[in-house]
Amino acid sequence: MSTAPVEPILVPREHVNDDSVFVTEWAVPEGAHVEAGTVVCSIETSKAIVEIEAPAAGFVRQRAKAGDEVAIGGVLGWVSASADAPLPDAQPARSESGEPGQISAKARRKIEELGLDPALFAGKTNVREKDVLEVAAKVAAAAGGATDDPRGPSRLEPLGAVQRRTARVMEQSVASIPASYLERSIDLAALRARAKALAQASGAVITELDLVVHAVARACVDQPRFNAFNAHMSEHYQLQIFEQVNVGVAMDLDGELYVPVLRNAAAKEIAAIAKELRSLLYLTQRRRLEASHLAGGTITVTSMLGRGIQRFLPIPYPQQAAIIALADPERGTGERTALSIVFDHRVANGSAAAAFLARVEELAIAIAG
Amino acid sequence: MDSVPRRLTAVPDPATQVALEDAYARMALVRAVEERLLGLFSEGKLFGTTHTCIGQETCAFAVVDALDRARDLIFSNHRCHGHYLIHSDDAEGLIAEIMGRATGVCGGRGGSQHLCARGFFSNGVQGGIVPVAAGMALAEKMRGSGAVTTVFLGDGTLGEGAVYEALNLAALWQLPVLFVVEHNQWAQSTPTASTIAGDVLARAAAFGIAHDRRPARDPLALRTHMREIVERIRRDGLPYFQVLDTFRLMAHSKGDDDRDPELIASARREDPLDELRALLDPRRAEAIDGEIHARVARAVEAADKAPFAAIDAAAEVRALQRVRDGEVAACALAAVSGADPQLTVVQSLNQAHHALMGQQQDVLLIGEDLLDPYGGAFKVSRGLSTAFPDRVRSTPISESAIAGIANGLSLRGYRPIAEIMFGDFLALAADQIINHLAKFHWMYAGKVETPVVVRAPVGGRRGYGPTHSQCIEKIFFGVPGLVLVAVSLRHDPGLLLTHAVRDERPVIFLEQKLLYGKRLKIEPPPGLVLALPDGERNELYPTGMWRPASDAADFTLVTYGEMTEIAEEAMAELFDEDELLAEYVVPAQLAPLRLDAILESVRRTRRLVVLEEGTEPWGFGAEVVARIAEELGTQLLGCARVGAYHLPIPNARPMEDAVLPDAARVVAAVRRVMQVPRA
Repeated sequence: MSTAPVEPILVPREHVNDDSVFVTEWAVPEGAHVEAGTVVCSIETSKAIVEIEAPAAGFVRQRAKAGDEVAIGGVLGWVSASADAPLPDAQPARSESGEPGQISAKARRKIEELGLDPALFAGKTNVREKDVLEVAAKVAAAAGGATDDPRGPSRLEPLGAVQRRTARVMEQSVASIPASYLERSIDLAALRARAKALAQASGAVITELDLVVHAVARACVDQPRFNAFNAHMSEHYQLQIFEQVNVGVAMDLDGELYVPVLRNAAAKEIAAIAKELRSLLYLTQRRRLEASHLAGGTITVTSMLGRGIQRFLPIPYPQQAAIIALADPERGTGERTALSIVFDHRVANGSAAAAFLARVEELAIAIAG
Repeated sequence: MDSVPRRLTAVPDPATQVALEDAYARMALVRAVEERLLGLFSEGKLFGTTHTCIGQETCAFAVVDALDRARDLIFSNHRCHGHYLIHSDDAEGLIAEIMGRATGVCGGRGGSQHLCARGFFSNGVQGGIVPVAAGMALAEKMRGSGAVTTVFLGDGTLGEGAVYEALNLAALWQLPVLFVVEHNQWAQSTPTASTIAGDVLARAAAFGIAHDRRPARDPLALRTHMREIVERIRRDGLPYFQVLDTFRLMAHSKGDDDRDPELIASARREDPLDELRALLDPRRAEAIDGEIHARVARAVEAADKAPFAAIDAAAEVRALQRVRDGEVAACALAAVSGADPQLTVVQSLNQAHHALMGQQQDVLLIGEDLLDPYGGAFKVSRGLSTAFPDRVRSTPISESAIAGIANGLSLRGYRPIAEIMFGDFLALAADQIINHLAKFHWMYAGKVETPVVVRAPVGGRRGYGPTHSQCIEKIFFGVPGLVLVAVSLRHDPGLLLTHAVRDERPVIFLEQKLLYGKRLKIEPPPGLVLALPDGERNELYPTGMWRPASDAADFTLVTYGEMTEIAEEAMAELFDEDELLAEYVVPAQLAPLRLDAILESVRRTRRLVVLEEGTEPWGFGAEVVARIAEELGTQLLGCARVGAYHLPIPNARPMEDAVLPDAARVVAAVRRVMQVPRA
């Protein structure tokens, strides 16, 4: 809508930590005529007071009041081509002359997913998914701020819902967990032989990963410290130790990360573990995982088997003590591979983690089905 | 009554001699013209056939000459040459007409059976002219002109139901009509004694109509009798039923005479014209014959030299489509007419009736159950009979008469609105609409207008079952001369009606029953804005068009009438679920189809879906899709029709819903056209 008579005044992202800002004051009264670039109001971020400029020439129409909290990307007000142009606030998506508009189901879902303010669709009569993505890019561009970037032109692309959740989780983990890393070379050939033998005996599909998941669960029974997390409250450090071992298993689908949880894994036989993991993989691939499948993990296993990666440093889940990683063997050897752990150093120290890894290898290769 | 012809025996005095010569000259002209026509037919100079009244000239002379040419009206039938010639003496115009020349009475359009001159009409369909004549008589009665309307029937026509509808109303409403039955004992090839039961006069007696039956032999005596009858009708304002026994000496038309040759030979020996001629001075008779034959020969020669009536058929079609003298009061779209959005359709129509009848003395309403307090089956006429008692005519169950009388009223300067209680019953008025009302203007070479509005509640979902729920407008779509207009919530119904009454053309005005209680829609459908094509503001029945404000639409959806409700439901669903946007086109004028707005839209979207409530095959959608396909060829990427399944409409609601179109079927059709993958 290049000719939209109503242009929104958006909250830019000024600081990475802020989800919202406070309106300090309006610099011009309601209905005042301004030029593009005129300072119309100021907002307070966690770091500073920031002046907001009019995005276009027109009449200022205030939406937020001084003191209001407005989300990043939210609408502070508008500049309109005429002083009495109908404002879209009450009903987003109306035509330029105020006739009723419509937002498609896909667009509604996308607006919700991206957390956009419906008022952004002022003056847009028919809002489709592509319109939402366009507006989202515009909002992101506004939040991005600088226009004369020495790196040259760029574009902003909003993250999908799954990746946004992943991003939050990773951010939280890195910010809160002082993690350490240990790696142990394990006998992959033996692990494979074990899986094959068990598969033949049971008639089911059993993989190396199944064995590792099962072993991790049982190792947690032996060393409950790794089935816990550092539940500190201010100065009082303490562990919250879970009785049941719920192993999250990282799964990748088209670049999106899902970690469905195999509940009470220590109490289950290897065949049951294998069957349940196949089932979770099936649901993941068909995007049929429900919230209950993703909740309640106490420790996580991730695997790069078959991806040509010999060593990697996963990030543990917030409120978990450790993540166990299975890498690929050195090219050409195929005999040994790296089993590693990234753990919360507040919860355990290196020797305990080393013992934990050793126990996992032992259980994985010696598990009796 | 005596049905055996009797001979003329009186010896004429000199004064009578003059009268006899005049009678002979006029009847002999009829005979000479018709005999020459038979000759021309044999020579291959006529198109099709012609029906002569040879042997029946006495009827034509005695009845027509008894009338006041200045004001009385005649409606004749297929065997009309005698009536026309006695009325007009226009042998030249008649011959040229039958020879198909531009100099003919109707420029060659009507031919033998379809004549129109001042005060004279004829039409070729049996019986249907009788209600029309009754309507003309009603007009003259209301105007107080003292005119008598004469309508000619044959004994064969007594088999037509429309005759009795007209007899009933002529008696009930005391109309100055003279019904003349020329009883020649034969209906084409069949003796009417074998097809017509009971007594002929008893038919008139049953309606309380004065009647008489006598032979048509002595022209002067019969004319004297007819003069008395005509003056009696003029004086009392009551109808009269005259049966004249006569005999047709020639075939019904050509080559279809299987009557006993002896019967005909015997009748020829008693030819009334020969008997009349025998009473004249032979030299005078010869002189008259000579003049007549010379005149007829000149007329044929002149006609033969005259050009055939040229026709630019495409231009004629455009002329029929053009509004004649209709003045646009305001654009009849609810969004721009200034209509009160609180108004329901029935209120809008009722108010328009009140306004029209209040402003125009020539507007009247005719139909069944119209009177207060009932006020019409769907209450459109509520209050009208109280406000305008003389101009609301409540009829018996006589749809043929309703339409025919309305037609006759319009021929005499009124602008009647006829209400057919259920559109399904238009079938009962179909002959009147198709063979009379729609044809007169063009067939009579533009000499008359028939500004009748036939209002018809149509459509289903009221649980009325197979015979009270149809949208049968399609049977009229293809009839040239008719305008079909459909009310919708997107239009201003009262304004459409006002325009229909102003239109000189006959209009079938369709009101879907479900609309009556609904309010007009001013706001556009969600996501769309009104985009009125150029020129639509000046149309009596504008086509509404709505488009997405700034986006390109994916398809064009065309619908009319109450189906806008279903169309708008489907459009909302298609945007919500499939992000498909429509251009939305809602015509009020269904026929003649005005393609411009639809074409303009489909040129942009290249995809077309047409929705109608009537059955899908052979319908409005079929015509629209065909016309668009002709215009756009391979530019048209997809099209679909959605209508009712090709079944009668069931009574039970779930079955009715299954047969009639709904939003889901529109959505499915659009997805098909848009090639949306199946879920």
